[in-house]
Amino acid sequence: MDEHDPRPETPDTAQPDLPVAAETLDELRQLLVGPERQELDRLKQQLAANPHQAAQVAELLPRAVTLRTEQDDQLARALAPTVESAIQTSVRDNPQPMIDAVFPIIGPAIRKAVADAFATAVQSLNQTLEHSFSVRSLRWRIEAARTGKPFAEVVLLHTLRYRVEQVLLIQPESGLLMQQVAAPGVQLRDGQLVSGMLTAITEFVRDSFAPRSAEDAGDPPASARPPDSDPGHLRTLQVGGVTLWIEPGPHAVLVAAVRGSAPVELRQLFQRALEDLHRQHAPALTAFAGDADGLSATQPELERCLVSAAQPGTKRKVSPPLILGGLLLLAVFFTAVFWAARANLRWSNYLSDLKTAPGIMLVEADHRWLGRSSVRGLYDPAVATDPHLYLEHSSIDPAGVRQRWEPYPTASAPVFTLPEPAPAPTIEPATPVPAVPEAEASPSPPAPTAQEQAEARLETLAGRIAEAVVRMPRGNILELDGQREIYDDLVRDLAAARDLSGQLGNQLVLVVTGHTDAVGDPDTNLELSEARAAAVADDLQSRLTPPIRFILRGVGSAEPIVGIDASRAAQIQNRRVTFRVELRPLDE
Amino acid sequence: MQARKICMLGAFAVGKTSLVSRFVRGIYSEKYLSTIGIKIDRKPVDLGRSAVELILWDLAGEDDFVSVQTRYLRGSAGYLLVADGTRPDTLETALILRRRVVAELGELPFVLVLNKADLTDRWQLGRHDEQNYLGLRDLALGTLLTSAKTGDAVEAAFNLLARETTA
Repeated sequence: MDEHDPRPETPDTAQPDLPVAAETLDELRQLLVGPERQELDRLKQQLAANPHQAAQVAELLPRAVTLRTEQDDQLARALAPTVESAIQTSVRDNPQPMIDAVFPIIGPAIRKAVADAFATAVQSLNQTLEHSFSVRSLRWRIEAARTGKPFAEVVLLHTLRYRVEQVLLIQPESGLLMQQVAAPGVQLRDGQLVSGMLTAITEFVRDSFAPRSAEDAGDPPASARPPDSDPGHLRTLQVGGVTLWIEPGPHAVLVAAVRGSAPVELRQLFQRALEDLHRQHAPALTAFAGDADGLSATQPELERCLVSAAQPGTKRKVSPPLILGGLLLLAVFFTAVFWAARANLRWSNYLSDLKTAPGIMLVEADHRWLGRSSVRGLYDPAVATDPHLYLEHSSIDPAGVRQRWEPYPTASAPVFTLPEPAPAPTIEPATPVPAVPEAEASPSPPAPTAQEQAEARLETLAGRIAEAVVRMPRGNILELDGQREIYDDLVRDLAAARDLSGQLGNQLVLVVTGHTDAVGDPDTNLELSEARAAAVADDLQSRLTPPIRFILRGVGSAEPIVGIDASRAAQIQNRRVTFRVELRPLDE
Repeated sequence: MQARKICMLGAFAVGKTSLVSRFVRGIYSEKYLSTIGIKIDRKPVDLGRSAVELILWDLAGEDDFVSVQTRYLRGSAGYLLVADGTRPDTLETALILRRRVVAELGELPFVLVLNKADLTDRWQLGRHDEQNYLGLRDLALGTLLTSAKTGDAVEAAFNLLARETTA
């Protein structure tokens, strides 16, 4: 080093005695920089020894990498191609280590992707449900049907405050499309034509409306100026609900199609994106000559511009009480329909039973949903079952029906006026009652004796008693509801007949016969019929003082008044108790 | 696919729009509709080894009242200079237009197209091989007698320009 460094040998010191001076200087150097020189020599030796150097680098490398990574991303950029090619080589030569390495993470990754897809589906389902039960959603559905847009899109249009749907990157001069991206679900139109036309329109607007003073004054033409400062550049275009935001740059124009009302701040986002594009991809932008593939690296930058914002408060849900109310209303409606149908069916069955029943003539039937329904008709007490019983067996609430049943006028007349022909032998021939003379007396009725009158009266009563029928629709329980009048008449007639027979010197014996319908076991029916007769006899006995004699009979279903081919309801008429009067001598 | 901007330049009613229509959509209409401003179309062209998409800027024709705005030409890879073979003055207009392009944008490749070749009885530009069409023939990539009506040489004209611009 000293041989090459002439500066210390300054002219002042070198002139008188050169060797001495050089020696002194050397000593001085030794004193001043001796240790440093030794260190320098050592370093030189180290550098010369290659293995040693590698070891040192190995020691330094991790620290250097860490330091540089903290500083900036240059190291990553520098290493990226090497790492990529290393991975490629490794996979090409022997893919197994890579497979082994990736295997543990690929399962969770797939699971996460599937879960995400499900979550998205559920979210969209939720949104659909949210908008399913409201007047507003109905309006949107109509709009969707009218405009032919999918419902989801209409919902999105209304619930989003704004959304950047498309971003185009256009070469300013030629109007050629450099790159374009679109939000999910947005259909990309023919980008080349759009960008060309947009450029033409921009030029046209500038031609027509921009202040021309700058150009007239000899300024450089618009193309040569930085477009940021170009006051004539079209910045905004509005078409329907879409606004085109145009950001001019030196080598590219960024055009964003925004649906809805976006805040002004959004322009800053576009400006920043455009600036970043120019900074990061300047060579590619400048060199662009129509090949869009060369600019595919700008896609992430453009996708950053595809932002959207939801309207505040649009997530209003339909209140649960409203849903509950709706469901309740539906339930009430269907219940009402069910009830109405059932009531209608019961009513028509009831009427049909009445119409087919023997001895009953339905005159009028009025079925009302609100208030009391009513039926009116005539019945033949001799043949017909009590019409009230039909209602009881029809499952219709009897309180809801007003009934008016009147006996046939024609049917009731013979009961009271004509002697009963069938039970003629009720007055036993053994008794001295002169039944025959009555016929002889009637053509010439000048003066019937008191006894004759009593006999005639007794005959009538016997006929009426034989006519009487006590209904027992349920077991052997005597229920007088609906037949009290008939029953009271019977008791009265029996009392009168008993008294008259006493007057005539006879005793009245009442044969009480129980009947059942044909349903069920005949033996049981026989027992039931006897029980019915006994029940009625017991009751009559309690009402008659002095008492009368009874003969109880049970005939089961042997003497029906309604055949087994009649309806079930009609057959109920067979469950009854009938009576027959016998006169016997007092001493018997 | 590579894209190239191509402009249609020429006098009023020489058939620029008809040429584009014939080339892009393969149709020809007798009805005349004057182009107002600009119409843009695109057509992919297969050049054998490569393919290119031509973005065709159909500019309104030049006449006494409307002059072609050369600013629309910026960024063009080339242009079709169209004249009407039945109207010699349209060739002069073509010459003027070409000069304006050179003045504004410098030399650009172009194809000289003499349209309406089907109207032989009204042809006024003389025989093809004898003419140099006001000197344009020597400057152009090629000179073609086309007919938008019959489709004659239309594709050839566009393909010639496409091949040149992608070379």
